[in-house]
Amino acid sequence: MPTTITRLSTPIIAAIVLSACSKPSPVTIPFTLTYHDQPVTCSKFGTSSTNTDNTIKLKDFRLYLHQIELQDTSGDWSALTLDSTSPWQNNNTALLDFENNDADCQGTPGTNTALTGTFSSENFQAIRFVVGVPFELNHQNPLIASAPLNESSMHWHWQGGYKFVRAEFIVGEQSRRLHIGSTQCKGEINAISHCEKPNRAQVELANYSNINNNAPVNIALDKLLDFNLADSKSKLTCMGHSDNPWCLNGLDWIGLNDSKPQMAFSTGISAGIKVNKNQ
Amino acid sequence: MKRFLFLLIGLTVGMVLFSPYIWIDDKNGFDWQLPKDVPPPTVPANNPMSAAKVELGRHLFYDKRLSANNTVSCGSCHHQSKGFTDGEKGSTGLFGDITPRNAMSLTNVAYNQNFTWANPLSTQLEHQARFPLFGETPAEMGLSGIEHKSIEQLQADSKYQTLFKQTYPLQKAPFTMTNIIAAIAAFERTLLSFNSPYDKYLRGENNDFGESEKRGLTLFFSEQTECFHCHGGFNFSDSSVHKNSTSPVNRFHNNGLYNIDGRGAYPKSDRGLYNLTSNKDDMGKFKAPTLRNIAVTGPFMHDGSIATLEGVLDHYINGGTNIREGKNKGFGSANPFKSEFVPGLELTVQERNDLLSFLHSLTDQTFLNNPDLSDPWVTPES
Repeated sequence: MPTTITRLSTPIIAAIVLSACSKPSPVTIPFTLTYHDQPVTCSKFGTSSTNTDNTIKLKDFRLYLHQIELQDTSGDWSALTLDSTSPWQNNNTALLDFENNDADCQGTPGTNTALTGTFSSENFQAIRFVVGVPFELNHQNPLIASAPLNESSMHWHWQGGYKFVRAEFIVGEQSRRLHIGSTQCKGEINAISHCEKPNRAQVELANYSNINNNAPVNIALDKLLDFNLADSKSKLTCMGHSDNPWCLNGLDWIGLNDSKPQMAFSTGISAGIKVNKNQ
Repeated sequence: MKRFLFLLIGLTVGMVLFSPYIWIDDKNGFDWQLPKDVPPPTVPANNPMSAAKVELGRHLFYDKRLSANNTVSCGSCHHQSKGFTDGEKGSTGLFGDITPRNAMSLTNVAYNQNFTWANPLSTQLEHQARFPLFGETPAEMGLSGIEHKSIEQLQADSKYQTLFKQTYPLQKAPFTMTNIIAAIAAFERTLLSFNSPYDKYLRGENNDFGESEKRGLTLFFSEQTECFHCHGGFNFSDSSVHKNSTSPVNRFHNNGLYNIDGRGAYPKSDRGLYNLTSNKDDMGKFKAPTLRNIAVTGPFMHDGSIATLEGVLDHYINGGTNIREGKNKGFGSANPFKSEFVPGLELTVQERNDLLSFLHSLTDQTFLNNPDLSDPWVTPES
């Protein structure tokens, strides 16, 4: 009997020792926000490329990401284990916040423009993530939720879930707001059972490597804001209705149109590869 | 004709006889002060009623510090004298923006199955309170993301130190938005109105429920007018629930107010239940609000587009609203999603007047003047 135990234990002990040896590597994934290759901040934006008379101002830009995975050099995908001691992240979900409530912005004072965590391998060559909050966390009460899901301005109270993306600008004199979250939900607030339109965009970016010395993932606002609304009478507020051109453009941009690649995220090395799946 | 009245009284009596509870309800012994033929409302298990909580909620309901610039309270759009509406088509938010919807009556709001004009997801007052507090399109109270500033102001007020301690004696840090909302909801659940001339008439008390009102009552509960299908029951709304009701059903109706494209479209600013479901059959569907105190809650409909109660009757007489000019032009009466109970009515002048008399008999002066429901921050005159 002792022999059997020893024989069984050996590989287990070996595995424990091995895993203790290959320590997870710390990883930081920075994000940048740009408009026509120029960085965008609360105090600096520029003029519209479609109408140079129009200045653009950033009011708010925040978004949730979850299910963040990296591809190691042998082609296998594994989770980026988020550092949940950060107030911007829990085990699975992170809030990116590009506004500091200063200058033209209206939001919260803090900013967070990077994901931090650990990865099982030393090197990675691609990244993928889902824009939004996972269903299991999405329909809780934000007033009693823990960070980063405790932000009342990131909740769509009447729809019963979070705003996955909160993007707000002033173009010329016009306010343009894009809020994306799950819509057509059933059940009750704090107990939603199902949403017809989950609106979680899956994004996969090939050629994203840490060998490139922490190059950022870029979020480009070009395709979102160069949408010409001059002759459109449509509302410039999008609250999830896909029958409004500004909304449709915003959903296309983030990658929620199955027939179009996402146009928001890129690695700067290669264009984004859209996984055509509305999760 | 009279059998409808007997049916109504019979139903009411039956409700009392077969109710397992009496009007003093709640394990804390909260006294709803309801007439004995009225069932108590439902209360969420995590927000039991207490007299202290109601009093805290009354102070919060009328407190402008619950808006980002200290200019708007719940009571700013819900005036007691107007059945807790504001007399405007749309209400004005803290930055001057007008809401697309008409402020709803809070009369007997505790019995509502869902809250706002058309939101089946919102099944508790505790949900609804978050919409005006945090909503941004347009901002009403403007606390989105900055509720802590309000809470800090309240916390600095010694009056609230006492009220929160009395309401939440076991909590070390009771100044939370969840507790604030819970107290406001508890206060709102006491906005109970069952003392109109109609109620007194049912109870056999002397009052001024005259012959015209009686004829109006019979008409109201008749298949001739169909009113009661959507505005029936003890609360004059088919969207009402109480402590004994079973299997609630969300009910929303299109009453033919608009028909912009001839295919049933409502103005894009508000398409009712469709806003949430994107289901074409839900176009223009809204909740049937209570008719209690209806005479003081104009203008009417979800967008306040009908100024007077007479205008509302004419809407139903015409089987909808037909608009000849302007951007909302169209025959609402031909809206394909319109309720079968809005076919149009043939009423004599006297019948129309009788219905109006009956609707006016639902005005409860005790409720509209009850000092327990009034603004505690105002020193009473006299």
